[in-house]
This record gives sequence, structure tokens and C-alpha cells, in this order.
Amino acid sequence: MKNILIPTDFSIRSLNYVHSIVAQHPGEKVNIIFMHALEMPDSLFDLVTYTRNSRHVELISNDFQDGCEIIRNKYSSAINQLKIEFFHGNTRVALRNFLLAQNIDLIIQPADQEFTPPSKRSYNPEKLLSKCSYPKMKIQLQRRKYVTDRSTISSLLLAE
Amino acid sequence: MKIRTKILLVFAGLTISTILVMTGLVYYFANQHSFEDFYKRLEIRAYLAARATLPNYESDSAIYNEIREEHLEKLPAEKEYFLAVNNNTVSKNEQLSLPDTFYQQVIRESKATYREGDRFYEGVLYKSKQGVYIVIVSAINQYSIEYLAWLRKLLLICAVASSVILIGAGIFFSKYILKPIRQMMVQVKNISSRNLHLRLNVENSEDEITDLATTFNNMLDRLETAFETQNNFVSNASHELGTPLTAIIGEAELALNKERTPAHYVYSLQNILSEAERLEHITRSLLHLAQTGFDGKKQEWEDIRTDELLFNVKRTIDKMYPDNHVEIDYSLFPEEEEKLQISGNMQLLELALTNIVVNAIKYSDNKPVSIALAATEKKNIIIVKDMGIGIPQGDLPYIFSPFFRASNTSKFKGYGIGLPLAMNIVRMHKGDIIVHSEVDHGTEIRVELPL
Repeated sequence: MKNILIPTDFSIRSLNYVHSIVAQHPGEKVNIIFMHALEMPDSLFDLVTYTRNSRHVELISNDFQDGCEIIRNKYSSAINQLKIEFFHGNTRVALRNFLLAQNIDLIIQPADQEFTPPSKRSYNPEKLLSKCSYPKMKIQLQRRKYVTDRSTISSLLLAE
Repeated sequence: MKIRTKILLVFAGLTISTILVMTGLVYYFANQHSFEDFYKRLEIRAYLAARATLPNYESDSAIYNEIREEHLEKLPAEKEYFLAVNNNTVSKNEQLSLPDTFYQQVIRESKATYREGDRFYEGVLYKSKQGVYIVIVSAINQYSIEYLAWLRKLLLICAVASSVILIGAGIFFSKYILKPIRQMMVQVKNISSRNLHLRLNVENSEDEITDLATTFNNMLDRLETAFETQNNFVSNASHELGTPLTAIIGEAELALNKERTPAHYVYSLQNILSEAERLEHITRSLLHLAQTGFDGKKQEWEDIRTDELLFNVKRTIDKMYPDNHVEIDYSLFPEEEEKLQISGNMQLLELALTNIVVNAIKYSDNKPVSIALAATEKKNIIIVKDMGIGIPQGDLPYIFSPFFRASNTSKFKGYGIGLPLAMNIVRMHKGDIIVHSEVDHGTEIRVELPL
């Protein structure tokens, strides 16, 4: 069973990579881990009161949560587990530890560099990910025709 | 009771009771300590008196007496008693009214204390050449009485003064805390049904009061929309019902004002009939709307499958518009069919969804429409997407009000009942309809139905 990491900015767009992942792993169960990268806080007080997850959970929008469940239901025979993890830090060592702890086998690299940070401390981990020595896969999402609102679940639809 | 009084009471109660407890403890321990100190002094006096009165050597007596005279001042009402002890029995003095336990304690532990009002007794066991004696010294603790009285007065004054200060502070405090709420109340009182456009002032801080004001303002927004909707409903309804009636009346008057050919009458009657049918259609949909507006107790609820619902809708649409371009999008269908099981009324849901899809077809001039179905853990989501004329932003809040028609729909026929009806039905199923739209690009309607 492969553990596949997808960097995410909690937009529905990043959920679309799952379609291609499942298509490229036929007959195999995969674990999908959505990683959201956050900088460590600068001030001492923030550091002291920094908790691992609780405060960032509200970054996950309801639509993203719904989208995750939809994807999981759609590919329930192909996806074993689909979870969201926060990566705290911005160094290569921290990332290596994170990848080791999550037992990652494959990293997805979005080909289009679209990233809208949902919070001040979120950042695009693209540079960091491209430097590490894990196997990577570039995925290009096909250009869509007009989508009324990119943030809604309908942008998950494959049709058109 | 007002919150202000409550805050005052809690604040004052807490602080004053703390002060009272502290005062009490201070007094208690001071009192205790002064006793101990006084008993110590009595004990020294008892031993010295015993040494002086019952000396081991005659010469000692003078020395002890000298020490007593020179270094120990007489205590107020100081008295000494010497009681001989023979075989554990004490020869009692008539002037002393001490309990037997006191004597027994002296014999057992070789000293004991006793208090009688302000008079303190200290007894010690003294073994001399003359025999065993109990030496009792008693005195009135004048100094500590004065000291304690002074302390009592001081503590009392302090407690009263601090209580007064605290109550004053409490009044100020509660006033200060509730000031924004009182201001808000004054503002809210000014808002009535005639000036619903008024809003509360929102300050630039991020405290709870600001949150409350924002919440109030949001509520007022919704209220205002609802009010306008209500107003619109009456005017729109009378307009919608009036138009066919005017047509019927006009047609009939025209036919009656002079003799006409039978063909003309038939034509007129046909016009009247079609207008009457339109009227009937409107009233029937109105009735439907009213019925679905009630709670869904009357309807039969059953387990239905949303994919089946979608297919039924598609079939109905195919009958109504044989050349439609409605596609069912399978890309998000869940693999497990139990995720598609919801409880509801098939007919009503079909009606609602058909209305939405018909709108999508109608307002896009038969451009492609896609119906997608997705399932989360808690709800099923049906997405109907068209590439039609869209809904202007300003009209979005009103699209679910009966008879409302968006400003760009004038060239399409319709009454403005379909969407409100769909909304009523979905609400009956505890679901929700979310609309995203952009003018000239299309509309996406998301129907969420809980599992």
C-alpha cells in the first residue's frame, strides 16, 4: 500500500489530483495524505502557546471537508485512507522528519504553481519538496472550461 | 434582577467576603497568640513564686524575692495560691473555684492552664523539701484585652471602609462593563419596522460586544430582506393574478360590445380559456407552495435513493423537452450505494429537482445542463449546472421569494414559483439550496440533502 503525499492549500483544486492518482494506480490501494505547510511562529508567546493541530483545524473549509468525503466515497475501493496533516516548519530537516514519520512513498508535485495561502503562516512547500530525495510525480490538471466558482465542490467534477 | 445588579452583587460579595474572612483570621490568630504569651508569663511567675516561698535553702528565698521585686512588675490583680498535694489529693482553697480536671491535669502533666472570663490561671506542680505543691498564679490579661480591643476596632473600620470602596468600585465596574450593551439597547430600540435600514454602530475592536453588534446587523439584514420579500410578494402576487384576469375581462368586453361572427366568439372564448387556465395554473402552484410551506407531517416519508431520483427527473425532463441536453455527470458518484440512501418524499423531491432543472434549461435556451451527484458522510449533494443567463448578484437574496423574477428574465415566460417551491420542499427535508451564479456565464445550484 502506497502512502502518497499531496501538498494542499485547502482549495478544492488540490483534491482533483486524487483523480489522476487513482487512475495511475489501478488495482492498488493507496493512502492519501494532504499536507498543509505552516511556518513556525516568530514570537515567543506564540511559540509557547503553539499547539500541534487544534488552532489550524479551522483553516480546513467545510467545502474541502465535504470534497474529501466525496472523493473518499467515490474511490472507496481504491483509497484506503485519506487524511489531512499539518507540516510545521520550513527546513529540509523538518520536512525529512515529517516524510519519514508519515512513511511517504510518493510526492505529488502540482505542475501549475497555483497556491493561494489560506492563512498568513501558510506557504507553498513546492521548493522544499523539490529538493528532497523522495520519488516524485508531476501532475498537470487539464485546463477547465469556465467554472462559475472555483472554490465550490462543482470544480471537482470531471466532465466537460 | 438586572445584570448590572448581579455583577455588582457577585463582585462585592466575592471581595467583601474575602476581606471578612481575612479579618476574622487575623483577629483569631492575634487572640490565640496573646493567650499563649500571657500563659508563658504566668508560668515564669509561678516557678519564681514557688522558689521564693518554698526554697530549698533559706537564703535562696531572699534572692528570688529580690529578682521578683526588681525585674517583674506586678500583673493586674495578680494572685498566688499554694496548694499542698498529698497522695494525689489536693487540699483546695476556698477562694478558688477551679474544676477538678484542672488539678488532675497539673498532677499528670505538671502544668495546666485555665481561663475564666478575663482571668487566667496557670498551675504548675512544684516538688520541694516541704512536699509537693500546686502553685497557681492568676492574673487579669489587661494588656492584651486592650490590645485586642484596639485590633478589633481597627479591623472593623478597615472592613467597613474597604466594603464601601468595593461597592463603589463595583458600581463603576458594572456600569463600565455594560455601557456598550446599554448603548446598543438604545440603538436597537430606535429600529422599528418603518426604519429597518438602520444598523448598529460597529466599533473597530474584536471583542464580544462587536461580535454581538455584527450579529445583530446580520439579523437585521435578513429581517429587511424578509420584509421586502413579503412586500414584494403581495405586489407580485396581485400583479401575476391580475394580468390574466385583466386579459379575460378585456377579451369578454371586446366580444360583448357588439354583435360578432361565431368564429370571433370561438376565438375570444379560446383566449379566455387559455388565460383562465394560466390563472388556474398559478393558483394551483400557489396552493402547492402553501402546502409545502407547512411542516412535512402529512407527507409520506420513505427511504429513497438519490440516483434513482436523478434518473426519474431525467426521464420527466425527456418527456417535457424531448430535445434537451441534460446530462447526468457520474464523475463523483460514490461506489457504495448505501451512501445514496436518504429518507424523504420521492414525488416532492422530484418536483423540486425538476423545477430546478427546467429553470436551467429554460434560462439557457436549451444549452447543456449537467446534473451531478456526490455523497459525503452526512449528506448527498446534487449539483445542477447550466450555461445560461445567470442571476444578477443583487437579485440573489430574493430568488427564493414567491413571484420574484430576476431582472434579466423578461424575455422568458415564468411566474416565479418554481424555485420557492423547490426551496420549501428541500427545507422540509432539512436540506439546503446554495446558488452560485454569474451573469452570462451560468448558474450552479447545489442541493444538499441530509442522509
